[in-house]
Amino acid sequence: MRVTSNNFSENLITNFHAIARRQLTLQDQIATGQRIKDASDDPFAAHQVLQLRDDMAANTQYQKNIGVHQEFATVTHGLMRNLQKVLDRAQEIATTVDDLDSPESLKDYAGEVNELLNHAVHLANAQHRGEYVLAGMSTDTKPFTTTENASKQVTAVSFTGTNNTAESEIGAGVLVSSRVPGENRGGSGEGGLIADTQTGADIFAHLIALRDQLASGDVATIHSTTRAQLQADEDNVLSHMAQNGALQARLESSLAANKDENQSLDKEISNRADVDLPEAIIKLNQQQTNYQAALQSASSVMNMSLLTFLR
Amino acid sequence: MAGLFDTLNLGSRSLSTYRKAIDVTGHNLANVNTEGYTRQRLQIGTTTTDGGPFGPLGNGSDAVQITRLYSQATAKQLQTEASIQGSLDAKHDALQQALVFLQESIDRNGANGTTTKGLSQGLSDFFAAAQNVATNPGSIEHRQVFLQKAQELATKFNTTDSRLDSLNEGINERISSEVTEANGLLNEIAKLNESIVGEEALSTGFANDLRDTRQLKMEALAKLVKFEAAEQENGAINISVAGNLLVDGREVANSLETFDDSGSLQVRVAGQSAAAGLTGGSIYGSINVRDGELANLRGQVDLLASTFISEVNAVHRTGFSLDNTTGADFFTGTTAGDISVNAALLGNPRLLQASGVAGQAGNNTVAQAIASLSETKHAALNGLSFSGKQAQSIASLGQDVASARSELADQQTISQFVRDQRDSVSGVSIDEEMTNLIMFQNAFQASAKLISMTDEMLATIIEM
Repeated sequence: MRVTSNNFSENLITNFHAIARRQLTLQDQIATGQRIKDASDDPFAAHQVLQLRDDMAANTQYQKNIGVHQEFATVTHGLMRNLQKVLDRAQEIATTVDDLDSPESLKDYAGEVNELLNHAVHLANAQHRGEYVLAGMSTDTKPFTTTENASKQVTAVSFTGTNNTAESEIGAGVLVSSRVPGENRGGSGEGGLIADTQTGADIFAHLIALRDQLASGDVATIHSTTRAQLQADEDNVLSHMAQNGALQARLESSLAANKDENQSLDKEISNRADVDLPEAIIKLNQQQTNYQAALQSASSVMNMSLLTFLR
Repeated sequence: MAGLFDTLNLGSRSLSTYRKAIDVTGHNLANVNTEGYTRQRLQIGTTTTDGGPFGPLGNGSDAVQITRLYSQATAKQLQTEASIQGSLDAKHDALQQALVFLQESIDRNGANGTTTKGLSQGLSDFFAAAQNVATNPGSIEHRQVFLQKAQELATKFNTTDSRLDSLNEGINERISSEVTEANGLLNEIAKLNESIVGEEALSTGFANDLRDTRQLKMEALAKLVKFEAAEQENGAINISVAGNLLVDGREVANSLETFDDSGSLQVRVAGQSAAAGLTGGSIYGSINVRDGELANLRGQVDLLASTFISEVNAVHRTGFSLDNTTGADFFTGTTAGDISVNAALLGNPRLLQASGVAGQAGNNTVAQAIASLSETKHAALNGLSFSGKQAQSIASLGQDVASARSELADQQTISQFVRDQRDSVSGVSIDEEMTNLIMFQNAFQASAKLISMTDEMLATIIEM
């Protein structure tokens, strides 16, 4: 093939463009640490990266959800512990009293139980982040309202919340609730903390009964019935505490698993999107060598023609 | 019988011939860098001979014709390759721009891990914020953030739509300006035809430089629109596009024009009603990519938007707000261009219908159902989730860009090869021209020597 003067320059320009393009790509990859930026760099890998990134974003959100659940589970657990203390004392009183106690001392006990009752009502209406913890789904409404007699004693407590609680995701399709309904008199579904038909728990009614029985000196009924009822109340609270503990352990392990999964996902993304730095640097060096060689050879070839030797 | 004066004439003719040859070589050297220049050669031939008793006696040499050294087949191939490259250039440019406009570049270096700035990130943020509401249904702050994220997503849809719109407009403007440019080139080719026919009629040679210029114009035209060329006996070249004669000898018979074909800008031969059946060149490439890949991409974005709007609205309508209102849409609009969050909700986050039962502030069933839509496979999206669909659209466009890029690179190699072929026949080599120059100079000096010798011989005779 006949080679003309412009063949050299055109060829050189084409090569310069190609080397410059490769250098730009490699330099960009080294500077950003990424092999893939745009989908056109590697469409298949980019597709996978976008999906993995989406899974990671969902996981990160699940971690936040788990955090909220852990917070509510801790708050609920504290509430249960305080209720348990109330029930412990009530049971202690119910066990301690006997026929030998004077009516005055029984009335003193009745006064203490009344305070325990008031404290329990206060606990049952506890709020966290402006929401009533035991209100079920009706978190903006005070769940327990009291009826008082002329001497300002609580005679009945009614529940206005719902007997179910909100569940949200801690993993794809994995729904949990970190709340407990205050009452469930429906006989099925989630167990109520204060009153529950399935376990026979009814803390307020039993405390009211104990108070009234102490006030009237009906120790026999306390021993025959109320003590067992209070035991059932405490058993119910303890059962909830056990469930709460299990939930917290589950949340903790879900969080750990979620973080592990995110690390794996990040590794998968890295495998597809990140550049192998040593390889890229070696390639860039090769390109720089090519560039130097192209410049050197061009300067010697292009500077020479017959003109150089004509006088 | 030839005398010494004839020898003088012979020398003089020879001097004139080699001066012409040096001129032609000089012209070649002067145009070594002129685009489209074809090297020329002076054809030197022997002159007519005189008869004589010893046989015909030569009378030296004479310039016959200045010819171009070129290959018709390569010239035609250059036009064909220019049309293919023009079409691929237009396709690649448009697709590359579309990919940039989607803002789906993956960023691994941000504070929030792997992110993009496009719809896929918007969808991900929307569903994360929905999860926050589902976990904290009574929280006004989380509702506020969710609505803001929803509006950001709606804005991303709007921006994507308007950017693809402007890309369409840009392509249409490119088509219009290229049609004007093509018409200009048709005009120039017709004028060059006229000059070539005129000049060649006056001599036996060719209008070499004018033919080079015409060839260059034809290559420029081929880049814009693929055409058929037919050289006439008088040297003019007729140009036809899709069977329609556009340049007829010295006249432009028909020009190209753009027209509105049911809302779509198309190109036709002036005076005709239907679009010209273009098959190559950048105008064809622009129309093709606009009505093909880009129309498909817009369809995908609109489908994603409309499915997203209807699915979220269908769930949201069933819910109850903190003020116990129900039945409101979450999004207004039906496409990527007009999607927006219901202004009433944006104004008052309490109106977000997150609850499944009236009067239950802590009920999250609807918020959870909206959040769970992220996992749902939608029949309207060919069984893909929202983010899955977007990832597929991006990957598909990425594949289109990658294919166009590699086709273009291949084409550039082919075009370069054909240009090299052309240069190997028609390009100027300085070494070659300098060698010729020395050759012609030597011949010129020899002819001059002949004249001076003849002069000395004449002087000898005169002094006898």
